[in-house]
Amino acid sequence: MNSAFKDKSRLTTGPHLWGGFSTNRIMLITLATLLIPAAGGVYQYGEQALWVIVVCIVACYAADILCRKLRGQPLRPDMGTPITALLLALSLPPGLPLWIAALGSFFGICIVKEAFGGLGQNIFNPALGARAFLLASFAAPMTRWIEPGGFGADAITTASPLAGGTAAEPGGLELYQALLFGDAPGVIASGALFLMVGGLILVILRIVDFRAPVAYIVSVALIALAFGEDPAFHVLAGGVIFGAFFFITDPVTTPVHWPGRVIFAVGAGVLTMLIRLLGAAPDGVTYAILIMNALTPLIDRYIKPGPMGAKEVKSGPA
Amino acid sequence: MKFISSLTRKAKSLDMPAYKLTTGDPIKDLPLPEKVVLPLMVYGAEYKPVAKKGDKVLTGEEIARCENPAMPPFYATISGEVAGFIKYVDPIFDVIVNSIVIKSDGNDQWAENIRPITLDASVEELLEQVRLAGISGLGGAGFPLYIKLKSACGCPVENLIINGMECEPYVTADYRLMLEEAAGIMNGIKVLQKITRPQNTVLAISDEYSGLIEPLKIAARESGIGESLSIKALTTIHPSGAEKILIKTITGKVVGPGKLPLDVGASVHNTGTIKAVSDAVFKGRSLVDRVITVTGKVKKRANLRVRIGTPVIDAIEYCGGLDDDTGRVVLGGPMTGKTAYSLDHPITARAICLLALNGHKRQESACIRCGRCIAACPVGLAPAELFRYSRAGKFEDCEKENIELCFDCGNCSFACPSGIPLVQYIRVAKREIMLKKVTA
Repeated sequence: MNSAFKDKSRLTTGPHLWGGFSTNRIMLITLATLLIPAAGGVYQYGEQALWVIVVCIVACYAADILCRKLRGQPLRPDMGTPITALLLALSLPPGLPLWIAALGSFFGICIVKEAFGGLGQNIFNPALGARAFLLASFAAPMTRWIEPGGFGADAITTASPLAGGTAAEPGGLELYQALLFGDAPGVIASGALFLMVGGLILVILRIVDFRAPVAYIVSVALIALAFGEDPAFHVLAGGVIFGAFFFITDPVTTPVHWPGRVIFAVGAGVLTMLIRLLGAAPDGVTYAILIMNALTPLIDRYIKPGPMGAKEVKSGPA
Repeated sequence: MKFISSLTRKAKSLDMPAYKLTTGDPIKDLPLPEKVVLPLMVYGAEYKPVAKKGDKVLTGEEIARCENPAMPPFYATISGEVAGFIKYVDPIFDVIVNSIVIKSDGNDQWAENIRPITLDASVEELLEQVRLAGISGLGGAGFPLYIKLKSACGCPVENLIINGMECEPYVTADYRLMLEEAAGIMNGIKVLQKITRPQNTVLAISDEYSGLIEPLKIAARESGIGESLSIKALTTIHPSGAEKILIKTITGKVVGPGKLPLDVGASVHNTGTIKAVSDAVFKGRSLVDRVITVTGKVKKRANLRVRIGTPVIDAIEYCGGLDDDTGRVVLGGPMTGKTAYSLDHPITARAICLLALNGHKRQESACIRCGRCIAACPVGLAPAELFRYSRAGKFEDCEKENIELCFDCGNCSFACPSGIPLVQYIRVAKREIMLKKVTA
């Protein structure tokens, strides 16, 4: 028995057990929850949304393979790619010219993610980086919203609720309902309810920590109150819910310790509202989170877990 | 409020299954092995053999000596003949150790070098009895008990803590010992109380073992120490039984980096060690055996009392052999134990468990900075950061981040979804730092 064991024995160091979570599983569940707002978007906007999503997925995979070839890495599929594709597609306006969506996908994967070192190394969220790039380069098509009409409907151009262009009364129940179900014009994932369901699944399955999204939503609402605006409207409109559950919780581009994540979220909330209320852009979520992404290494440097009993010794920047 | 605390606890807990598969198996004596292999090293101190090849030795006869007189004497654990010396790589210390091999004569004749004494003996006599019995800690670290108690003698001990937490999955040896030998453990506690004169004595057990509270209370009452001993069932999240964590849980005091438990007035001892003290003082028996749990992929799982130095294969064959898909045999618990490279490996005093596992290896992927390792770390380190420094060879930065606080509990590797062997990287850094200090 001994010699038979020797042949197949393996030397490992402890621990010899490990938890059930794997990175792949985390990403797979995130991807599955993203399908909920994606389905909502396709229901609202029909083929106008579907084609954008399909093009983003195909283009992101193509960009991923291209980068791996260029960097001489194995072509192992990485679940981060479809997540980036869906996050980008869902934050684009339906009916966007497809070549713009494809260009954004290539920018997100090749420049924002792979040029910084690939999975786990990127400073900015690839999907948000791509969206900011498209907003700056193609301002007109990126802010051209259409009325939700399902499959086969004509694309009727309209204004986004944040630009003050809806028929519904501000603060009216009708408007909340429209924002919840995505009946108000917006990006493909504009139904706040679908995003909340997806986000809640992530929280319940403990894929993400609930503290950061809560901090973000609360800070947005509080600042809206302080400025005499309707907090519920500001939380439900634009990308706040989307950002709270799917961008603020991106582990790679946010601080690594949870108090740092809360600071990140509050900072993003403040910036979002400042851009909305004082800036020129109608929605500030994209830039707010990107700015906080840039501050992440700084937050990480100062917000560290307190080593047991080491308080009086060594602290601050090394 | 309770709801909120349950949420934070959930976010912190590890979802580590307990796998306590052998709580129902009484401790059985493993038949005397044909030979024992005894590495001539205790807690990193080397021993020189005093017995030669061919010498007849008795159980409990001194066969090796250390230059440091405070170190425990080194005893043969079976009677028989010294068959020779072999070198082997100690998997715990990663050093090549000279080891003595004793062939059993099957009689188990005992040397009568220590006599039983009573509690009326002086503290010095009790201490000497502990030293003579050759006891080192049986909880896994293997620190010589005499040295620990001697230093506790000179300091005020506020809390004497008996550690029956057994927080590692699978292991049930201490549970069975507390259930079956409660009276002996209480006697051992009396001896330690006399030596250390603590203000409080706490017996800490895992809340998974709540069935033990009643039998232990009865034993405490019968032995007459009921008043001075408090039995606490504590929440078990690995590594809640680790010395510094346990002290923090019970006393609220933090043993900082580079500090000892005595600095905060605490002295912590494993239940198995306490039982050995009781045997040494009241029965005049030196430490030659220990209780281990044999579990995992073996045919019949068991709690066994084995002679120290018994080859692993003896215990495994007694338990019906290994399952076919076994790929590793771990000496020690699943979180901190080391794999045996061969089944001829001896069971040392530090092995609390023999665990047979499959040979699966974890696929390693990129760190996604999810922070699960930070949430899992019991001493508040950032393993992900230490791992990056260690991989880059920046060991000074590891030092700045208080890497010396890490005691290899394994939680970070357990929690890492990317399968990164964080503990291994941290261990590499700690070793480099230590080597630098030694050579400087």
